[in-house]
Order: sequence, then structure tokens, then C-alpha cells
Amino acid sequence: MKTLRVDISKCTACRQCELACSWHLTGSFNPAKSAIKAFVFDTIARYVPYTCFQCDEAWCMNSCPVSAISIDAKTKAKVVDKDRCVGCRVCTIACPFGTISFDSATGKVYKCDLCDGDPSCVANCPTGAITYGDVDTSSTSRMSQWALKLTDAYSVKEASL
Amino acid sequence: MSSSYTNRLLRVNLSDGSIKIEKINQDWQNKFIGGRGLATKYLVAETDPKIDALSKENKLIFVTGPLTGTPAPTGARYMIVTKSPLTGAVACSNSGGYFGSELKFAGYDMIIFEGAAEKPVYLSIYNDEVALKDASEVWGKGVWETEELLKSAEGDSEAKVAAIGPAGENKVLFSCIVNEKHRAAGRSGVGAVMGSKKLKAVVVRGTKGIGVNNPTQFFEDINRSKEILKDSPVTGKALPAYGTAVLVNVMNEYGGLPAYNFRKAQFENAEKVSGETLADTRLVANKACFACTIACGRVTKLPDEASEQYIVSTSSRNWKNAGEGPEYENTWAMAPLCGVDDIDALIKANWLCNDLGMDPISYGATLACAMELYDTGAIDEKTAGMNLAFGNAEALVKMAYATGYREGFGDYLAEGAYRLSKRFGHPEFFMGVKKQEFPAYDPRSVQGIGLAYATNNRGADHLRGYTIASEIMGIPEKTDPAATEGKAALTKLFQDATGVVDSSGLCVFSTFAIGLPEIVPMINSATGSNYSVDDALKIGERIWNMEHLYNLEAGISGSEDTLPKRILEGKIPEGPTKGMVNRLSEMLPEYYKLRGWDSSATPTEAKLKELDL
Amino acid sequence: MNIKVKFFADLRNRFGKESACRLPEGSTIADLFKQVELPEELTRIVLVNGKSIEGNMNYGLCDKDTVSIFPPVGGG
Repeated sequence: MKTLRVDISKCTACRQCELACSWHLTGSFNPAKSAIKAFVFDTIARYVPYTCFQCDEAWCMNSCPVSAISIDAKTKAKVVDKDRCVGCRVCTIACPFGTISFDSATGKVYKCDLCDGDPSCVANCPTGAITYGDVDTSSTSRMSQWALKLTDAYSVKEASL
Repeated sequence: MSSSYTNRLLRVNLSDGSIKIEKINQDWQNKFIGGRGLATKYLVAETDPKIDALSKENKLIFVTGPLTGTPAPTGARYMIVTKSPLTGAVACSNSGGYFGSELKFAGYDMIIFEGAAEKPVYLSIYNDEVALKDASEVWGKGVWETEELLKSAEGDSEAKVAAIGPAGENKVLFSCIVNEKHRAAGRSGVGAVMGSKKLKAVVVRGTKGIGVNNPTQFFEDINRSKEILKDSPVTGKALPAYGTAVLVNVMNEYGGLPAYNFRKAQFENAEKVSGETLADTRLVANKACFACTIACGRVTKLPDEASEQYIVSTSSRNWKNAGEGPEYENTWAMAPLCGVDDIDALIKANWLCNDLGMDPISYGATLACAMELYDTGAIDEKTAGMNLAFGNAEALVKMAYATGYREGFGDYLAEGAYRLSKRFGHPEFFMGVKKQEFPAYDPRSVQGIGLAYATNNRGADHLRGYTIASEIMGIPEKTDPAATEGKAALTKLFQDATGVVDSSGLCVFSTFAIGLPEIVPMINSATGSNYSVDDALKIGERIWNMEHLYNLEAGISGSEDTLPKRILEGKIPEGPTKGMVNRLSEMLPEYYKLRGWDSSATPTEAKLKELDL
Repeated sequence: MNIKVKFFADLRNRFGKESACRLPEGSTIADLFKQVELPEELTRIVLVNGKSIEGNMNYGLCDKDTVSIFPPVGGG
């Protein structure tokens, strides 16, 4: 199973992810209807792309009274079936992260569906701030960067001399 | 059929409070594309070039291009077009950030403001809900506080705000309009026009989105451009790492970095305020405008001790917060040009310019002029209110406050270097053209940019014909900065091509890697137009001539296509460019000829007919 | 000959800010690049005493020359 990962040190707040996602979801360039948003915290100079990371608890799915949200067999994403959705918005209240939203233009909710396994935001992020990788091993590369730093700290050979 | 144009403009009359939606003139859109070209056409058609720029007869136009708001790389740009109170010429001032794209998502290509309000107002736009609202709570406040308060008042943290600060309200002649707190339509005093109309801000939120005419072709075109931008060492590496501030050392090594009000062309302490030093010691992040894959924006923080320095009590700002800038132009104008080498004073003065809403290039240049007046004894400490010696970092910061609020000597600085130098009996200390101060390249060391300065329609300016790309950086091809041969043709080509880029909604920095052969197809697939590169260049030439005709009618004649005596005759005193002057007379006649103008810079009948003007 | 070499922008990460180089009489820019192990494609602006070599890698150096080297840059 793969997951979206975010490296906020690489985000420049260009919002190409919002354009790519809204195109995928609505067929127009419309950041307001994007499931991923790049938040700008200007006073602390931090830029954070944020979206649904497909939690296991799946409050959205479990709160839906008409079973409009289900788990995609291939990607394991929680996906909204627009034909079943009745726009009651209970899922938007149940999700503690705010990552499922209501679109008044369609009367349905929308969220990240992982683009059927080829996330558009990942493909269009110019800096690699958003990546899509194996959920069990994708922390390892970050860990290894810090492991490397330990090699600066001291050399075992020198210490034992 | 879909298009990335919304084809709608908002016409807001501030005198009677009326707000109308109009269809964009399709004939003009075909002839001028959008952005700078289209808005200038509206200005030309609807106003008399002889009006007073600060009167209610002037119009203030916010305009986007067809690629603004699309994922075309650097598709963020919008322009402010109006008559400049600094120069009396046509003003087109470009800004990035997120405001322009948000205006498109709300469903508008352009806003035209007419007349003037009795009391301070702001325009609120949320898709089709457009209203003028009372701005008395924010009038008098800085841009940053204004943005926070108005977003709160509108109940929308994602709204985008373009505002003036105290400088615009006080009609400082080089005040500007700022969006997202740190991005500015900087030059030519467009903020003063907004202030004269008692318009404090525009707040916009759009949820309609835009489409494109041929999505498959469009994605192919933009992806190709994105690849080129990524692979280019300039747009893919140097600009994100160092911003434009990398040029401080470049121009200094060349002997083309004007210092001490152009008395010299090198600054002995350039390294202390260089892009490298900024990146190593004060930079905390780099940032992009909307849809930009370059991300040249500088985000900086002051060390704690520095954040306490030179504060004036009217400040309600938190100096410990991160802020944006400085880039090359503002670094140059407020440090080497003034002999200042204190990077923290520079950062703070730049932030003040952003929050007060004034052009740091003109501010630094005007201060440098004042410093030369002080140095020669034409003004003393009593007149200035403080020591204005070259190099005084405290003066750099304190005078920024004084200028924005028009207090004490700041009231004179607020008039710009041209009027300041005349007031104190030394017009020869004004370093600029058509009453606008020079930007950051010494025209004695770089011949072509001197011709560009002398002939650019909005006065001394580097962006409307950036020959530096060729003369210094070798983009697209290297030319010898010290040579005058071929510079007339080079300047015309840059000016015409830039007209297209400025009308498209893209950022000129995209042209460090892509050119019209990549940009024109993006416009076509986004809108359904069918321009060739030649068509586009002709449009660029048409835009240039239209702006020029406006200036001629405004009373700015060909005799003003010149450079100050210090540039034409005052040889650089030392360094690698010692002895150089700008040899304008070797370039200007050929330039007029190539433009199809007579010796008084008037376009011939034949040229006007050819351009359909 | 004694040549002073100044490096700028990201070239500093690899080469530091300044280097003193000794080269035989009649050396060119190409010879200098070879000695400091600087691939030409990493550079775009090369100045000798503030004058651009205009892409001429055979530009001849003299004793006490200062060479300033920049990677490709852009600006405004």
C-alpha cells in the first residue's frame, strides 16, 4: 500500500498541487475545489501542503448514513461515490482533520482519492515536496539522512585509538 | 467553448458607487492579448493623456493575462495600468503573488476604477457578490495589518488582498500597491493614484475556477515549458537558491554596480549585502508566486538584536516575524547606492517599504540623492532632521518611516529624486529618466541598458527592455556590454517581446529559459487564439507604439529620451570600467530608425498604419 | 604567474570564496579551469580584472590577474 508523504521544507507554496487536484476532481482549474491545499504560515516562513492521508479510523466512511464512501481495492483510498452521496455533510463534521469538504456547486462532498494510484499533485509538484511511496518503507529515507549525520559526530575508529 | 479568459471586466465608479460587469472588448483582446496591452488600450481609449494623475479623471486598472491562474509555469501575474503621478507617463506596474489568479477564479479578467470616493472604501469581491465597503477602520494602517483586518472582516482567511499603506494614502509619488503583504506593483507611483481615489484595498475570493480551450494540447505545451524551466541552471538552480540578489556580486565585479548616487560603479562592501551573504545568514526559505516553478522569492528573518534597532514608535509590526525580500533591485537601491553596508538595516527598510507601500527602488534612489545633497552641503542636519551622510544605516530605516508618513524631511523625499534635486538647487544629482529614478545597472558600463533606460515608456526602468539578460548573462546570446553596435536592434527586440510576456500573465523571469516559441503556443491552447510568434512580436510592437503615443500626447517629447549629464559625460572614476560613459548618441538615431520614428521620436504614418494604430 | 580566483554563488559550495593559483607563463582560462578542476559547463560569466572573456576559453592570463567566476544567473 502506498501513501502520500509531505516534506514541508521543500514546499514553496506555488499551489501547482491545487491546480492539478482541482483539474482531476472538477475538470477546471479551481484551487477552492482542490482536496489538497498548500497553507502559507507567512510569519514563521512555513508552507504546508495538507490533505487526507487516508487514515485507518475512516470517520468519514463510518459516519456516512448512505455508505457513499468506500475503500478502493487497489489504492486503499477512501473514495466518495458521488451518485450515492446525498450531501448531508455529516462526514465533514466527523472528520477531525477537515480534509473532506462540501462543494455547494455540486451538492456533494469531495476528498483526496489518490487519483486511482497516480496522484496528480505528486506529478505536478515542482520541488518534490509531495511524494507517493510505500507506506511501510517510506520513512526509511528520512531516517537515513539523520543516520548519516551521526557519521559526522565521531568516527568509531578514531575513538578507539 | 472554454477559454482561460473570463471575458468579463468589473467597472467600479468610486464617485457614484456604481458597479457594472461588462464584456471585454473582443477586438481589443485580439489585438493586444490581455494584461498590459489590453489595459493600456482601455486607458488610451477612455482617458485624456493630459489629465492630472491624481485627479478623479484618472483611471486605475487591475488586469490579468490569459495565462494568469492556469498551471502554465509562472502564471501568477497581474498589472496595474494608469497614468503615473511621478512621471506623467503611462504606468504599467507588474505584481505576482496570488491576487491576480484569485481575481480570475472569481470570474474577472480586469477591474477598472473610475472617479474617486468621498470617504475611504475597499472593494470586496466574492464571485458575483461585489460591493464597496467602508474602509475607515483600516485607513491609516500598514498593508500587513490591513490585510489581516480585512480578511477577518470578510470572514475568509483565504481571501487575497491588494492594498495601499500610509504611503499611498499620503500620495507619496512612488507609493505602490502591495498584495500578500510583500508582493508589489512597485514602480511609478500607482499607489498614490489608488490613494487619491480613497480606495484602500481590493479583497477577492473566487471559487468559480477557469478552463482552457484545448486541454490536451495545453498540458503538452505547459509540461514542455515546465521541463525547460526545470533543466535550466538559471530558473532551476540559481534563482531558487539565491534569488535575483545573486546579481550584487556580478555587477560589482563588472564595475556596473552604481554606488554613492552614481558617483562610482563599484561598492567596496558589496559582499556584505550580496545574495550569497543573504542566503548564508538571513534566508529561512524561498517562496513562489502562484503556479511558479522557479520560486525566486526570498524569505528572511532578522536576528533578535537587529529586530530591536531603529524602531520608531508608530510601528505596530512584529519585527521578529519572517518577511520577504530583499531582492537585487531593492538591495542595490538601499545599500550600495546609499553607501550602506548593513544587511539588517536593509532588510528592515525593505519590510518598511512593503508595509508602508512604497517602491524601494525609488525610495533608495531618492535617499541617495538626498545624501549627495547633504554631502555637498546643499542641505544640512537641521533641514534633514538627522545626519544624512552616505552610509548611514539609521537614516535608511528612519527616513523610510518619515517618507511613508510624509513627516519632516520625509515630505520632500516623498516627491522623488527629480523634484528633490530641483528643490535644493542641484537638478544634476537626479539619476533617472522622465522623472523616474534609475534601476540597478550602471548605463556607463552597460551600453544597451542605457538605451533601454532612455527609451522605456514608463521612464528609467529595467523590466520593460531587460537587455542585461543578453549583455551580462548571455541569455539568449551574449553581447558585449561595452559595445554600442547592435544595441538598438537588441533593445527594440527585448522591448517588443516583453510586451507579449507582460500581456500573457506570465512572469518575465520565465524568459531566462523559455521564449515566445514556447509562450505563444500556451496562449493559443489556453484561449483558442491562433497567434504565430511573428503575430505576437507585432502585437508587442503595437503595444510599445501605443504607450509611446500616449506619452507624446501627455507632453513627454523625444527630447526626454536622454540620460543625465553624469551618465553621458561623467566618466566612471575607477575600477574595471574606469573612464566609461554611456554613448547614447551612437545608439539612439538607429533605434528611432528601426522603430519607424522620425528624429523627434514621432511614429511615421506608415508605421502607424502597419501596426493598425 | 600568481592568479587570484574568486568564486560566486553555488560555486562557493565546492571551491570556497577565493583561491590563489600558480600557473605557468602564457596560461589561459582553459588551463586555469583544468588546474582547479572546474568543468566549463558549471560556469557562465568569467571576468578577468572585471572584463568578460566573452566565452573565449583561450583568453590569456597575466601575472597578478584576478579572475571572477559565476555560474549561470538570472535577475531583474
